[in-house]
Amino acid sequence: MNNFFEKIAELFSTPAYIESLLHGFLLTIQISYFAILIGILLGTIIALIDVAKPSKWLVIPKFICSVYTTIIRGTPMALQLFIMFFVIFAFKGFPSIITAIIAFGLNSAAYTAEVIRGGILSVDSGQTEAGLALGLSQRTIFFKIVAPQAIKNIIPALGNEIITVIKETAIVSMVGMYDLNMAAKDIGSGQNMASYIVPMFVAALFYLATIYIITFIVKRIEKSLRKSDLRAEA
Amino acid sequence: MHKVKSTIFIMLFLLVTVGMGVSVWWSIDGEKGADYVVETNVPFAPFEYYENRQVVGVDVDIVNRVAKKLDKTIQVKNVEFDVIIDNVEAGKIADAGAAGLTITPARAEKVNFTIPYYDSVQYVIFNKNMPPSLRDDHVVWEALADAKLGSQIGSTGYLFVEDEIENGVLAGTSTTIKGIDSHQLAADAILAHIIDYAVADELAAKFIIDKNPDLEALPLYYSGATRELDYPVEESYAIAVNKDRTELLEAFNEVLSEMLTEDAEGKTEIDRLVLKHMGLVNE
Repeated sequence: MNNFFEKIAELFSTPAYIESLLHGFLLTIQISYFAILIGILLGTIIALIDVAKPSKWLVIPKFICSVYTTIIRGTPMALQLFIMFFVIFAFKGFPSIITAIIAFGLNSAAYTAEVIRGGILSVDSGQTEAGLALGLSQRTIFFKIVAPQAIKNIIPALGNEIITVIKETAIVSMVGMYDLNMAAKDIGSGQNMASYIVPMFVAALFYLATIYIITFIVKRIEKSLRKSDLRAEA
Repeated sequence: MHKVKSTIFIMLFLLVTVGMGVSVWWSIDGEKGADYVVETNVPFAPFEYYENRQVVGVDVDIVNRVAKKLDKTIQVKNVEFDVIIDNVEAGKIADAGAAGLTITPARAEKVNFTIPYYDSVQYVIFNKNMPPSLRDDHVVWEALADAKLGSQIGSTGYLFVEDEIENGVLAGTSTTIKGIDSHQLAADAILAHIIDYAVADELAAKFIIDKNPDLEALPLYYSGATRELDYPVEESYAIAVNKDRTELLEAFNEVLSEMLTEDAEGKTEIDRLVLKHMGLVNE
C-alpha cells in the first residue's frame, strides 16, 4: 500500500506524465463535447419525428428512425466504433478524431432521442387537447405548453447521457487514439512506470472530477427550471 | 434579466464550440496527407513506445529510413495488435505493419514479410514468491503445466502457448491461457493473482521486470533430451507489407539489409538502435 502512495507521488511530480494526462484529457473532452452536440441535435430530430402525428409523409422517416434506434441501442459501442474505423471510414488519412466524434455522436443520438421522446410523452395529452379546445395552433401548443414542461423532465436524464458518453469515450484507446485512458496506459507501460494501476487510478480521478462538475451544472439548470415547483425546495 | 442570461449562455456556448472546433482542427492538421500508413501497437518498447505522445522506437526509425529512401511521407499509426495483419491484408487503411511482428505461416498467407530484422526469444514473467520450477537459468514448457497463463492477445507468445495447449507439450494438462490487452497488463495480472505466469517477448519482459521488483523473467525453452540440449523458443521479427505494395516491400528490404550489415565492431545498426531505445530506461 505504501508503494501505491509513493507511485502516486511519483506520477504527480513528473511533469511529463501530467502533460500526457492533460493531452489525453483534452482529446476525451473534444470527442465527448462534439459527440454530445451531435447527439442532442440528431436525437431531437429523431424524437420529434417519432412523436409526430402519423401521416403518409412520415411513414418512411418513422421507420428509419425506429430501425436506427434499434440497431444503435442493440449493439455494443465498442463494435460500432470498430465498424466506423475499419469499415465505414476506412480511408487512408481520414482523421481518426472525426471518425470517433461521428461514432459517439450517432450512438448518443439514439439514446438522447429516447430521452427526449420520453420527456415529451410525459406531458399529459390532456394539455394538448385543452390547448386545441382553446383554439391554439399546434405550434403554439408545442412550444408554449408541451416543450417547457418536457424540458424539465428531459434535463436529468440528458445529464445522465452526457456522463455516459464522457466515460464511454475511454474505448477509443482501442483504436490507438491518445485519450485519457491511453495516456494512463502510456504512463503505465514498460518504459515509464511499468504498472497500470496507479496511472489508471489517477485517470479515474480526472473522469470523476469532470463528471462531478457536469453533475453540478446539470443540477443548477434543473433547479432553475424547477423554480415554480414546490418539490424543489424539499 | 432573463434575456441577458440566455444571451450570455448562448455566447458562452458559441465560444466554447468554436474553441473546441479550432482545437480539433489543429489535431487533424497533423494527420492527413501521408503517402503510406504503417500500423503499429504501442507499447512494445524498444520497438515502439510513446515519447511526448509521439510513437517512437526501432520500428519507427526503420520506417523513417524507408520514407527517406522513397522520398515519400509515411504515417505511423497506433492500433490494437490483433487487427494489424488484417488491416495490412485489406490494404485500405494500412500499407504495412511494423510492430515486432513474428513471421508465422498463417500470417505469411495474408501479407508479405520483409527479411527478418530481429531475433527474439520468449520469456516467462513470474512472481518471485511463486516461481515455476526452474531448470538452471531457464523455464521449460513442462514447468508451465496446469498453470493459468496470460499473454498479449494475438502476440506470438499467445499463439505459442495456444499451440502447445492444443497439440504440444501442454496437451492434456489443465493449462489455460488468457488473452490480455498488453504485455504490461499481463504483468499486472500476475501481481493481482489473475494469472500465474505471463509469456512475453524478451525485451518487453526485461522492461517490465526492471521496474517491478516483485517480478522476475526467464527465457522459455523447449526441453531437449538432456538439460544441455534444451533450446529456446525463438522467433524472428519482420515487417508485414500488403501484397500489392511491392515497391514498399523492396524499399523495406533494401533498408533492412543496409541496417543489418555489421560494422567494424560486429554490431549492426539495428542492434545499436535497440540499445539506444532501451537506454531510455536509465536516463
